[in-house]
Amino acid sequence: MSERLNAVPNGDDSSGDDFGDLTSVEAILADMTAADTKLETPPADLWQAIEADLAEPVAPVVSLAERRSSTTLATTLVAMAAALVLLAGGAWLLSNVGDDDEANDTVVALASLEWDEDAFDPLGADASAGASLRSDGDQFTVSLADAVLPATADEDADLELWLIAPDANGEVADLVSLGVVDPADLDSFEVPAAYDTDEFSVVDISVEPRDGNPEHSGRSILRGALETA
Amino acid sequence: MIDPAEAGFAAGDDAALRAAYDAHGPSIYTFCVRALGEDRAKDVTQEVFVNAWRSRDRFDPAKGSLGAWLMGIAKFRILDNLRAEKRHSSRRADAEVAERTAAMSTGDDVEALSDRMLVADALRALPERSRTVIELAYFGDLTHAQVADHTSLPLGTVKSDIRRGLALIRSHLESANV
Repeated sequence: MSERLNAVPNGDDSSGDDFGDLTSVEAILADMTAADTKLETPPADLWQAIEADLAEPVAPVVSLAERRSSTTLATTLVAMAAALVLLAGGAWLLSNVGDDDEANDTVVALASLEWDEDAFDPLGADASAGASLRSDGDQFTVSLADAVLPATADEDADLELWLIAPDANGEVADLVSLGVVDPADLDSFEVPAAYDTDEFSVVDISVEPRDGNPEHSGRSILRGALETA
Repeated sequence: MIDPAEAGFAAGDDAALRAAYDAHGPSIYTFCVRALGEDRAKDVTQEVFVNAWRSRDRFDPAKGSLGAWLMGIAKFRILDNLRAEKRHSSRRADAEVAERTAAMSTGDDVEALSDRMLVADALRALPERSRTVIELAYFGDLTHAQVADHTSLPLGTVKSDIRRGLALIRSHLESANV
């Protein structure tokens, strides 16, 4: 055990100086070993990666938690992120999806889903929808209303509903699939219990080719941020 | 008292980012390696510097050092990453990730690691003699008298070097918490 300053007997400089109470620092030092002061060397290409990242246009760069396993997504979501910023400001708040027709459910948040010409799949050009987040006190569900959705049968694809967790910069930090959307029969979709809807707060609908790949295709058609009802 | 290079960072001087990276990159990267493992450390360090540069107008050199501010950003990026990893591992039953997130799953652990990183940073910035006596006393577990013997310094000098050094370390820690 190393000697503690405040316990030094007759320490003529252990009191009466201007340094005050140093026990908080001593407590941290007591937990440390010399190994804690050793530094790792960052990879040689890290600085280039930072420069390249900053050289991209103002639209936030997407850093997706699942980027490691999904390369298509990483590239296409760059464009989608730009749309997020745009839609965050979009104010077409729905009055009609707020109707509480499911007896025990409370509408907790609403989103107006919109198509982004620059970033989204052309299939969504004429699409629009509203989304509501409901809670029965236990289970959260997402419902779609007033949906005008494109047919996808021709290209052997489905529409899929997602919740996206944006990070502080509006980048896509994470996402979860809620299920396949049938335009002819709008269902409500349960949010898996492990997902916090405060965090997963953006509703997204994408075109998903039936190719067996469960990841987001990167082809969004509509998106909107949930705002507290 | 304000480092001109750090004032340049706040003002958006391009060269200041490179200077900040040279000065603090190794320590931020090391923090990320210890919290997240080598695989993820590079990406997260990159996020920290990109993030810091984009929000540089929030850095106030009068309130604290750039190193401490960057460490604060790193702490939040690390916590974000641990949360995301935990969520994925619960779905994927990824044993290796689950083990690591279990080992460092709470904010307290990251907080404690961040404190150790800040103390290590501040130690490196101390005058050589002060740093040596503190390392001997705390990492070498020597009494102050033994440190005095070992360094051939008068006991009073050892004690005042230690107190002055600890006070400087404390002010570095405090500047990270504003």
